[in-house]
Amino acid sequence: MADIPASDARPDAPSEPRAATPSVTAVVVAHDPGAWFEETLDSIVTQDYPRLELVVVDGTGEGDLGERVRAVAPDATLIDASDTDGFAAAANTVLETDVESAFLLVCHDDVALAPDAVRVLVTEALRSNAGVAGPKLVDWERPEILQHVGLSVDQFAVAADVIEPAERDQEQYDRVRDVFAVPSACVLVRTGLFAAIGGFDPGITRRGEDIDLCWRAQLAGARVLVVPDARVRHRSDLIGRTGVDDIRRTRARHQLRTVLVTGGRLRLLGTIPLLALLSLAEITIAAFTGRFGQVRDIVSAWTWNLSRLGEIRRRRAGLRPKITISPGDVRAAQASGSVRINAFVRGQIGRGDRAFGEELVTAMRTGTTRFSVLAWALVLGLIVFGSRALISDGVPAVGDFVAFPDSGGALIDTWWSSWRARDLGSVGSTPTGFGLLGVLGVLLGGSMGLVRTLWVLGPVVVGLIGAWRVLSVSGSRRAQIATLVAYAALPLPWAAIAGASWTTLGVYAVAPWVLRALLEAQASAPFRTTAGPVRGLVPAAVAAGVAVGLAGVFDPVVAVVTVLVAAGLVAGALVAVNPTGVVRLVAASAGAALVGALLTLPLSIELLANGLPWHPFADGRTGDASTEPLTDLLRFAIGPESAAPLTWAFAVPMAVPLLIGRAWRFDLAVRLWFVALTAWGVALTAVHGVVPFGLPEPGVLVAPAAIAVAALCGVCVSALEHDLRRAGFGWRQLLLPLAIGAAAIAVLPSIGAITDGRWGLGRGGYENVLPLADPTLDGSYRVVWIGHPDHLPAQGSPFVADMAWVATIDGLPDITERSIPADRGAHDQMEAVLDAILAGETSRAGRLLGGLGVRYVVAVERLAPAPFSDVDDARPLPDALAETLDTQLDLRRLAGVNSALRIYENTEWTSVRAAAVSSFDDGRTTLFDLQVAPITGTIGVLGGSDDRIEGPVPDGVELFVAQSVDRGWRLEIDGSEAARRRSFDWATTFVPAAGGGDAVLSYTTPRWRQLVVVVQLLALLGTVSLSVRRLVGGRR
Amino acid sequence: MRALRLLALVIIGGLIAVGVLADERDRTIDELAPPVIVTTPDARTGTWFCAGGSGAVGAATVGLELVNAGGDDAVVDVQVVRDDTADGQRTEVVVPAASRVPVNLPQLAPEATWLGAIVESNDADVVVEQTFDGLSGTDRAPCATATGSALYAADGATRLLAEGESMTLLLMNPFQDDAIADVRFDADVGPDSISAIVVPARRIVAIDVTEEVTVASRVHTTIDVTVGRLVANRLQVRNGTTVRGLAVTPLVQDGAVVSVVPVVETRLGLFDRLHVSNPSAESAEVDLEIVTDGGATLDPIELTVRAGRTVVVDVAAESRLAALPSFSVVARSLTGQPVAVAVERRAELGSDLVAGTAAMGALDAAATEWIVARDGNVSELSVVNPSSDGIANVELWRVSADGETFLTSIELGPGRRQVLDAPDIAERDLLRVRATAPVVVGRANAGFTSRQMLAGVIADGAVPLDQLD
Repeated sequence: MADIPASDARPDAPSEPRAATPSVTAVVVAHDPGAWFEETLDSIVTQDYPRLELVVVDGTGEGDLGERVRAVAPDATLIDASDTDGFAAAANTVLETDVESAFLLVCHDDVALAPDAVRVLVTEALRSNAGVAGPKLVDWERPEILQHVGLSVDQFAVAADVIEPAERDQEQYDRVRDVFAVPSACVLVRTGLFAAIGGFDPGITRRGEDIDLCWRAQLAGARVLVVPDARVRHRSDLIGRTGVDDIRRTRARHQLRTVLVTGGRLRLLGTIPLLALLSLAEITIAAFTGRFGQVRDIVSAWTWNLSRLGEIRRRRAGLRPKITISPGDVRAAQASGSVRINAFVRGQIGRGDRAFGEELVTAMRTGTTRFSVLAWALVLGLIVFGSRALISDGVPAVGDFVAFPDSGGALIDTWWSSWRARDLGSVGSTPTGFGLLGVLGVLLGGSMGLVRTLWVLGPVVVGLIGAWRVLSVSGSRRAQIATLVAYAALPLPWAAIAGASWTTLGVYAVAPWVLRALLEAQASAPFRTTAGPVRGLVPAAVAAGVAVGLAGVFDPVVAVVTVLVAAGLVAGALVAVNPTGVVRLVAASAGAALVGALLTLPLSIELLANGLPWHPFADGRTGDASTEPLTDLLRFAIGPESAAPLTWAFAVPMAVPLLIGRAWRFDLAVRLWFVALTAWGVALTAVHGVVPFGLPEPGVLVAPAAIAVAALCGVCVSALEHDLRRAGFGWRQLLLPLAIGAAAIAVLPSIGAITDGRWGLGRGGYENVLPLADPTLDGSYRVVWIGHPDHLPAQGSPFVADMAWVATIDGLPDITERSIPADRGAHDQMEAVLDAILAGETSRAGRLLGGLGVRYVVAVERLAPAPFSDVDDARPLPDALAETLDTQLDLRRLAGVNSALRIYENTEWTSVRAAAVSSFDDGRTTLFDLQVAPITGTIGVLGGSDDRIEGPVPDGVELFVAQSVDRGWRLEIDGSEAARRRSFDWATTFVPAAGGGDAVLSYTTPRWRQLVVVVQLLALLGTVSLSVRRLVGGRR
Repeated sequence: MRALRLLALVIIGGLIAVGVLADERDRTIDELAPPVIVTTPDARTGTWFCAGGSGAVGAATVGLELVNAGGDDAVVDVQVVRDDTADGQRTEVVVPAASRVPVNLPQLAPEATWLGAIVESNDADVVVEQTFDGLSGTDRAPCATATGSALYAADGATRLLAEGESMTLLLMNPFQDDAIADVRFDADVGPDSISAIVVPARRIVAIDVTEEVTVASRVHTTIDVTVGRLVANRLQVRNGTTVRGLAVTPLVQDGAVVSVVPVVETRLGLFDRLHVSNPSAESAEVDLEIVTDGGATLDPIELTVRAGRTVVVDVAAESRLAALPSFSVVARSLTGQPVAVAVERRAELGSDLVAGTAAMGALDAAATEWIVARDGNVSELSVVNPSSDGIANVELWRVSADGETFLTSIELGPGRRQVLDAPDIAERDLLRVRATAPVVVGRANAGFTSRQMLAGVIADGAVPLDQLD
């Protein structure tokens, strides 16, 4: 405190010859004030404090301020500070005068002090030895409403009020307290302290100067107090006066400036990266919610400060000698955590109003809200605990849970290209969802394992959020909780994880959102108020379409959920003799299909262009019967881990609304029952092989039933709340304990499933058990996978019985090869060969497959290799098929491989890209000609990514490329483009114009396809923005 | 409200009940039916497994005859399979339309002691037969178009010193993986066995049964292939004072519930014996139905074949058959186990007939079209209609460079057999037999010094005999 006069440093020690009452100079900084200014001046002039001088600083030099001041306070001193910019610099001009008072009372020009305010402040400052003291600020017009009672500030200089928005003043805060900062609207500061720390930071024009001042004051050893007995009214309408809403921008800039000026070097090493991370998160969220102004403001905060680093360094240097206490002590006085995050959670960032935060705080005081939070915490906690091994060890690459590329960039590259390498190659879009996952991987610093885990577990959380919202219009928080808990407790998602079925998880995620949207479209109670439907037809259709579309960008199969839910709701409405909205429902479903098609644009166009093929939705199934009994479907026991019989207990809460429900509870229950029955019915027809075409897996089909069951549990609660009390004493009263008991029993299996931390999913995939050759040695090759669709590492094409096939390049597929494209290229060649094998028409499958670039045939008999899968869950290759494979003359079965597999190596394989003598295909016009005259004398050449392959090509050879013909491919050797011809009626052979050399085989994606993808991205961005806005906007 | 509630409950309950009842119904779960594979040679497969014989200096020097019964030239790929570790030579042969091309296998692998071949063609009119030539005679047999996991050699003898009898088994593994087989001998001198013989991929393994089971007048051999699948030939040399001949017979694969021996004779000097083996673990009741040309109707020969045993029926000893110069036999396992049936013929020296030995396995399939490559100066083509109720109109066509020429036709009633003959059939003609219903074709050839019994080769319309009715 070297620069602080002793009298100020020890205010309790009176000094001669000064009077016992310290003098105070009130510094009112005026910026062209309005009509209220006289009242401000008058409130100061009429203070009961005896030694008070008034200085008015004219910050603008405009108007007749002098006259106005003289009219009220003739003795006041007027300082012209029109050459300054902002409140802080203007206030500092007082230091340029010969101010001799002990205290400065710095005020805005829009405050009105209670008559005793100065006296109370000074008295407390002297008594508590405070350097800075602030009054209780209340609303100008409604003085019973608190405005500020000191500020809490975090390490990022972000302030938060200790009071709640619009809180009434009931003297609840009337206690002198240490606070980190007090607003500059009215602040009493020791003159010596103010001078010693250089007053306000003149670089802070407005907003944040008070925090900066108080922070530096504390570093200089001063206390900061709020003295609530001093009462000051404050207009606080800066935006209205300036006409500029720059709150967010100026706050962001000045907060960062304060951190940079006041932070210690070591502390800044931790604070700055954290701040940068927070800014990044805020930018991301703001971008997704379409608040691009917010993005600009956050970015500009950094650029603004970076352009003033010299000034910041000077201020740091000037502050350093004044620091008398450890920055750690100051840090201890700050709010823990991040005020910004807390504010965001409370919805205060990016929102113009404070209703949500206020609502939340108010709601938290109610029991149901606390119960809701508890329920969510419990559900999410159990999910995290139950998934702990998946989170910590990663998700094994089995079934649908295919491996991801090593980097997000690789995922993006593959997605951007329209060449699909799977099967025999074809032109088609990789689902855009994987491109987005690639972007997420890049944003997460390349942590693709984390992205993959989120890809698997994320749908569960999305589904639960959707389930929470299904009955939000009912007004019963307990109903929402029941729906949430039931949806989480059903075995479906956990069985889907155990069975590595992402499609089922996708439908689990989407089904609640679609159900809610279609219920809104149907507009029956409770989705209709006296004022009309809670949501219009078009928004409801859009909502359903968006839900399907957003999941459809990962897997188009989820679209079936719309059909099932809509069909169930229509049937339910008809049975309930309440056909209201059926037409709306049908229209909404059609609208949802259109929106979904827009959001899945490249794929939807491809489906149309290929005559709406069914195979992308059949998941490799043929429509043959399977073995799942109805009881398994009803219990959602669709995975390798069979559900416990206790799941039947859900039947009780499902039945309750049917038995006692009235009004909309009964009506909604019937509709939900029919949604469930429809889903179960379709699943039953599928497993009985009634329909002549393949349907998605049973888990996908029963997922709409799952949300219907969960919602019925919610309706059960509503019925118990509303309808039970109307019933007289009787059997109905038994339903309450019965339902509670059944619910308790029903959730037990899911709780029990958390023990292994992986929901029964195997611990390892096939990546370590496949003895496949290194493609860099002999050239790239294909692997044909044959097995049950549930076990294949990608969506397959139907083969025979319950077997499907898929072909991949160089081993196990990654996520980009998971989905089956609408156009399957020359897949018919592969199917012809497989059919010939099956029919026993060839003993030279190797030669035929060799012509397709196939080196290995892998029959997958279990989801995961031994010992990570149970032999009881095996789907062995049919004996007849195994026998025909065993008796091929050129397939060699690799012995000693994992018992979950049969692997055959083709002894007559040809590389996918083979250099061959020019006569290699002479006289062989079709693939089947290879049976007697196989391809010989080839070597594998070129390597690289899917659509750009490079390497040297020997002299005097042709390049046989075993993939579907497409004009987008071209071969250049030393810059010279090679001619091409068709081989075996399906593949391409490039004929170099000159000799060998460095070759580049590349694929060029058509521009129109990329344009379509851009359109899709824009549609997705807009959709997500609108959706998040709507969610954050707080509509229920 | 109450009525509506009741209605909803009834409908929902009803639908659930319907679902439960529907789920009770048996589901038609399509099990993948195994492809219809018959062990009777079928030209449509295009792949021929010739288990082979000896090299240039052996007792049964093997050769191939590639027969093209079609109107276009055919390209045939021949890959030699040998008993040593040398690489099998491969050659491509163009077989002109309506012709037969011999392939001298020992020329392709002169050092090989034992050798066979895998022959491939994408032409369904190509037939591959293996020929054998030795000091004790010649023989001929179609190459197999299927492999088996159980193989049976119905007869054999190893009285080398006394009767000059020697027996060799040739096991060929045409696949890329090693095969393992257990061989069991049931001989009049007692049982014997060899366990876990490894037949390497693309190799032939020869088992000298004469060394394994010495001085046996009757040896029945069963081969259980525990890993992989095989084809096999039995080489039986008889060089005694009363009988002399070479019989190289493809082993019967897997057995059949119903099979047909198309050619059996009772002429004086001919000694035909039927061998019925039951490889299963239970006794089999087997009827040997005598199929004649309609001149006589005889009761079947009823056999009880104990598990793992072989019953031999000496046709010459059945007095009631003596009146039949030739007939066919349908072997039907009444108890359902597949049984292996074969016939062996012996014509002793000194009779009026051409001396020699021959043998063939029973056929397990009928077909509507057959290809027959005639050989020998006497060749008898027998056609059997194994159906119990259908009449087959059978036509005989000659295939030549000028096309096909109709020779003759017959009407064959159900359960009847007849010898197909035409006056102008030449010794080396290529013939096609076409029938309106599935029939079985077999042939018995006699040259100047040797005898042969062999099946025709299916060209189209194959039906397993056990599925015929």
